[in-house]
Amino acid sequence: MDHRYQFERDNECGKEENILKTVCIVSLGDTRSRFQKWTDQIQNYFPVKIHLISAAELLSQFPKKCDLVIIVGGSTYLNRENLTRICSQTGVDPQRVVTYPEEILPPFPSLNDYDSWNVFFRRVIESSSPETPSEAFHLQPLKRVAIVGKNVDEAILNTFHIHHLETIVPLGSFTLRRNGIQYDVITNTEVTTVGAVAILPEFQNVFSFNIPPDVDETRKVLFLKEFQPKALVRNFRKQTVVFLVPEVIVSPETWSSLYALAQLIVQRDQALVLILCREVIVAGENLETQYRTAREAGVLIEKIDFSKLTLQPTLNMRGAWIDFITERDRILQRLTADWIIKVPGRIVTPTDLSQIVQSDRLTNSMTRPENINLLPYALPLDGWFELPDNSLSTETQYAIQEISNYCQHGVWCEKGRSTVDEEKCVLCLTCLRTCPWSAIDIDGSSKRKKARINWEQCHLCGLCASSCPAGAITWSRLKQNDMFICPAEKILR
Amino acid sequence: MNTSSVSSKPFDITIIGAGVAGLTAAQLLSPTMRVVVIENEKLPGGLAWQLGCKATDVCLYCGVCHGINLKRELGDFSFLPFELVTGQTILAIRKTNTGYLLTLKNDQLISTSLVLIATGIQAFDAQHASLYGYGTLSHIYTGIEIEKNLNTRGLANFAHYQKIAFIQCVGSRNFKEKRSYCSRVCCRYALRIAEDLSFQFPQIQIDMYYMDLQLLGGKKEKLLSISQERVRLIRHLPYRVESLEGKPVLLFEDDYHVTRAEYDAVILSVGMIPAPGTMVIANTFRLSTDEVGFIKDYGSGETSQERIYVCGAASGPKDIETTIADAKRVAHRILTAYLSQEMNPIHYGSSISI
Repeated sequence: MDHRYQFERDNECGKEENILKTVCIVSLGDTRSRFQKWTDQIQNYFPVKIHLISAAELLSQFPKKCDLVIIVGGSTYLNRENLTRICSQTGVDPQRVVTYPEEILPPFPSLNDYDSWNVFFRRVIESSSPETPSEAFHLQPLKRVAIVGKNVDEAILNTFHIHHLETIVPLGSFTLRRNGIQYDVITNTEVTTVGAVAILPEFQNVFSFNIPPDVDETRKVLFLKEFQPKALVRNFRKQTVVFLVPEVIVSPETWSSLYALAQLIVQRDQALVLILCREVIVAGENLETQYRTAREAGVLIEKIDFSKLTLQPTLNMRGAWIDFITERDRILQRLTADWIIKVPGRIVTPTDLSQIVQSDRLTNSMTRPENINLLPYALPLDGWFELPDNSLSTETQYAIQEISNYCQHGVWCEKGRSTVDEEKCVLCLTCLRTCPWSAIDIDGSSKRKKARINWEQCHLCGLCASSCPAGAITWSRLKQNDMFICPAEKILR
Repeated sequence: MNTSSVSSKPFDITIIGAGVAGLTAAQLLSPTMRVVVIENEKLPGGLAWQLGCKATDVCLYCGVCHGINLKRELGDFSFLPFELVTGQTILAIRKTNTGYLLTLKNDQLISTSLVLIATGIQAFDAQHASLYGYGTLSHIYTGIEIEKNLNTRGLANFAHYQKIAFIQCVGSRNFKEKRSYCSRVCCRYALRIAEDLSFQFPQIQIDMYYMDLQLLGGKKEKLLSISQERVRLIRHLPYRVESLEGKPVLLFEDDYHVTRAEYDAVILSVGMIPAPGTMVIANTFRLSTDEVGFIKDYGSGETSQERIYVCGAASGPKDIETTIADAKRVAHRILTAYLSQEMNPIHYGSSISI
């Protein structure tokens, strides 16, 4: 018998149980029948009892008790969440689950292939049982969402209700505190638990062109929002209305209402309407058509360099003279405008959460990080989402759909995999800052504080352990790659 | 299963197209409804799975990895919670009073209550823009070609280029050719490719010839900074591309003068047109489309025929994130509408998808 496979019973580290270990091999995909011969030859070398099942039989045929689960075939497709899900549904301790790293199992295996498999198997079998048991759970958050923001649109609340999610909008002063997978909304009078938190963005208008104060005094300079209701009731016959759009990032909704309004004024009042801008937005539902019909109706749209734009009030202070140079013909033109309408761009002011959230993570505002592993619209805290708009646009509907999916799907997590050594933890807060899911808190009495990893939010990425400078965080059996020797390495040796 | 034969029991819903939209919808609908997905090509995945990640040392939020994540979630395709038929098309349909009878190319019949169309988009073939010389002159690429190469081989030949030019709106916003809409994705992918190129090959100078910069979607500020720092924006589209000593030369018409600009390479940012499947399916099912060929979505994925829904890019050009979100939205709409009316969906037993 090949000495490498010799099963050394002395390595069992004082186990009194049966040396006969039960191993359940789960073969993904179509590999089950092919894998039979691999497992048959295993039985020549190792005293183990093997159950070989396919992925489809995972629930029905899973053995009542087994020491080890090995997943073969297609293992790179198994992400962490799926592994946890399997453990939760079969009741197996996740520390006992190992994946065989070879992607493709050849139908006619050579001796080398059997070799790698057997070496892997030996390593896995020889490892001792985990010291502390761990368990995988499926947690379902409550179907209630707290909406943080000012002036919440009715339509948004209704959309949440259509998705069978209750909403609460905490008013006045309140704080949010982590409670397992859920969050407690604490006001002066009561505490309500919610499953998810949606943050409504606050927008700030940006208009980067300076209107000189004497032009302002003509009182003919207005923002688009103030102008719109006026335009519906007044008539601008024989007048000139100029819209200024100095920003590049302007929402398609604003442009859509601008095209519609400009076209209305031209057609209804036979006024002269000019839009001076840097870029025109035509990407959107019907926007290109609106743009063209507005131009065909007579709206003039010119792209200019705003640094060359000057405004001066007219002598009778009833309007302004505008001097501009268009990109198109580069001639200086002067126009007398009766109305100057400012169309602003919009940027999001980050919501200051430091007053609201009881958490040890040291950021005041939560913005979507550069982490593509988070769900769309999700913030770096499980269950927190950022709505893209404070009115019900299509994007907001998508975000609400994500929140609904999250509450429906629930979360799979594992308890008992990680330990933080009190002696070693120096409270440097590196792990707190590194954790992409803000799962770490500082815990303990004033004498013995240490970092605590909340298992409900933890996604088992291992970043905290690798970034801890004191080496205080240990993960039980998270890294499995060093268990397997690649055949190429053996040839090179 | 990747099989070309399918069981003969009636299905609750047939999804046409196994791109990211179709597969996302199938994933969401399969726990409660009996789903079959029919795909024309031999392999599923559509356009989104051919594109590549454009990250530099930071993520540029292009959305390609959401498509890849979907692949991971569905496992290795040999154990799917829904039926997947590849290499088949629908030849004929017959409307029954409970749904549709679809005839496939291999003469199989599928009986279904509902249909969801997710046939998607394709890139405009730049050879049709013959004045730009794609396919005839050398060193002319399309944006889609670059993306596919980013996914597979990489862009080693760009190490030799010093000056490159992007030409935007190729195949879009062309009123005369009845493609007057804006494809919405080209300005964004061009800026991301520009950022990726200047990160990999810092010697490259990039000029971008455009009409209007459409900065939409996520990370607008990042895109704006790319447009101001990495590229030189020039609002002028060339009318023709010629070749001088093997290098492309862009020709511009300017007040009856012709000006020339020489470059080492030219990238044409092609727009998106309906996939051939979209046009064929719209014809087969007699759905109303807009003048270009995209299937009209009357809100929440409903089309002009009852029991037929449309999701994803088949109803209009979209980027990957929006396509997936749209598929989820329409799938949710289907679930609520038909489960509340108790259409007796056949409950497919719960199973773990690994």
